[in-house]
Amino acid sequence: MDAPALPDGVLIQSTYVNPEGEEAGWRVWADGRHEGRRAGGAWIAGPALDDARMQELRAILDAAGLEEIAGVHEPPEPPDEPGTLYVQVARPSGPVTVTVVGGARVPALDRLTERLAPILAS
Amino acid sequence: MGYVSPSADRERRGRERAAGGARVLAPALDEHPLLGLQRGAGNAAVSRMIELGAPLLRQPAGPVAPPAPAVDLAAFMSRSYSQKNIHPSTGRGLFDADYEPTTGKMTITVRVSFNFQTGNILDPTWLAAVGGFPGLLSSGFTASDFIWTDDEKRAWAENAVREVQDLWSEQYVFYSKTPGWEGLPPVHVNVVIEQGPPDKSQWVIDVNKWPADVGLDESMDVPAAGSTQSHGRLQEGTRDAGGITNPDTDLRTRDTHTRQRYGQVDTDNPAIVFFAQGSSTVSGSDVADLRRFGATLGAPDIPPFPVVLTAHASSEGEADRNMRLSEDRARNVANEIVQGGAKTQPTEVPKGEEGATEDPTWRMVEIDVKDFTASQTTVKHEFGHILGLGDEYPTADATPPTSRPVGTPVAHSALAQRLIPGQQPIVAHHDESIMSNGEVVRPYHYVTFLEALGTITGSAGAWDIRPGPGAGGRGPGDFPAPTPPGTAAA
Repeated sequence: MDAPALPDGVLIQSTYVNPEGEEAGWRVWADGRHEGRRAGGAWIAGPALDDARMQELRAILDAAGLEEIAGVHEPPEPPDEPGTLYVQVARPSGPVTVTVVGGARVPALDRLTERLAPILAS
Repeated sequence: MGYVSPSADRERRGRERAAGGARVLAPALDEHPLLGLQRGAGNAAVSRMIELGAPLLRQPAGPVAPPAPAVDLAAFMSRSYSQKNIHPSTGRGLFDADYEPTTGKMTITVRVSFNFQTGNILDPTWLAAVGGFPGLLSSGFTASDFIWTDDEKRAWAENAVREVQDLWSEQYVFYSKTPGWEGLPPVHVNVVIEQGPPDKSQWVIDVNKWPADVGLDESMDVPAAGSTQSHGRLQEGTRDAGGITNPDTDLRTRDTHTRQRYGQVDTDNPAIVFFAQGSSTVSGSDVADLRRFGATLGAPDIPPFPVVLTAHASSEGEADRNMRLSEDRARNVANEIVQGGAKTQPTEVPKGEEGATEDPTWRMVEIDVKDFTASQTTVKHEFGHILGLGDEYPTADATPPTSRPVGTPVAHSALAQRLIPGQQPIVAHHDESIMSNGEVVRPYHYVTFLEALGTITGSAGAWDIRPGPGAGGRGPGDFPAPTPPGTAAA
């Protein structure tokens, strides 16, 4: 399955496509808008990120090394009907997509989420 | 030689037997299977059989059983059989098997460690599935939605174990096909889940606690060849129906658009069958169409879609007669669909002249195909993998084809065809089967137990299967071979 489109102006987008094909996820726009949606639902706005937090978020993304983990990550025995996570980041060289199939563990992605959480949750 | 009383004679023979002396029994009695068993297995085994009233002992005195099989049977019954860490030839599953022939009790033991995990709020997949922090912050989730208490762990495990054991035990019975072994007690299978520490368990299963099921993957790994341990993962929802102490159940709906192949049902559905005035006779061309439709509904790769027949009559004549006419029309259409091979009986809804006019087009039966729905408790399905079975639901339509498109033989099909007489291929589709979308255990789901029985007793291929005390899941094509005389379910 192809990754979802990454709209112009979105800095980072995380999309989970469940085994039934429904999409859920969250994204942050370059202007600080922060949105999320449940499976099959519409995007809803969360608290926008201010300039300071956006600067911090950009720094984290620059240091995350996503280019190095771009591509498809599968567990040793992927389920027959797996859910798939797509983490997409806009980079100067073009969008970078990390695809995680069937609950595979990608430690760099875990670390990125842990670092982003204080910014996104506040 | 003077008179010897019967009791004195028994004592003498006993002394001779104890001393390893020559046997003095008459040939006819000597060949009785009870005595063969006594020699082979000893008095303890005979005593156990007497207590159990085994059929072998109910034979009349005299040479009624073929000598050679009876002796073999006695030898067979003289010991117990067991094996640890069985890997079924399906390439999946890991369990122990024990079989006691004098009682017919076969125990399939799965040693499990449930590893209860706090849901990780920062799991990238879960966070995306709930809509990120915007979704999370608006959800009202609390810490208790993620963290197991000891009481919850205990209750969940008790319920999961009970539900798995109840579903998988005593559904079918094995019996010997060996001539002369009719007296061997039928084999009753009990599945036992033993919980223990991880280092003593065949399966270490992460049980993650989340506020709700968001469709995260649940699976059991395929054990490596020769391994003694494998892993799995389950996702449980605090706010799902039944709460966190009851394993999650999913309700799924499939229609004729769920997979491209299922659309054949719509293609072959006549939709409306018309009748002559006052007649409930289905015309020749309609018979052919209805039977083709029935054949499609009954195909092994088509879900058991419910069919509703709404029958009408034009308003000419008496209302009572028109009601009977619509009943007859519905019944006749249903009969043709079933004759064609449909898996399920159509639902008949006779309407008589309700809402009708005298227009001839009201002399009809409308045919509607409804959605197929089934519910399934995930842990029961996942234990099917632990017991060596593959998934039976089809993977998505795609180009190139996915791993198990509609109609593809499933992982346990070949073994079932080899061990169960008359077994047809088991092909991927959505239905009520426990390894598809429902909770019905079919005879072929016992095939890995059947294989284990043959393996541990060295009698592969010598067994057949019939309904057991708990059987309720028989379907089309089950038990194609006639049940042997004298083996009716207890």
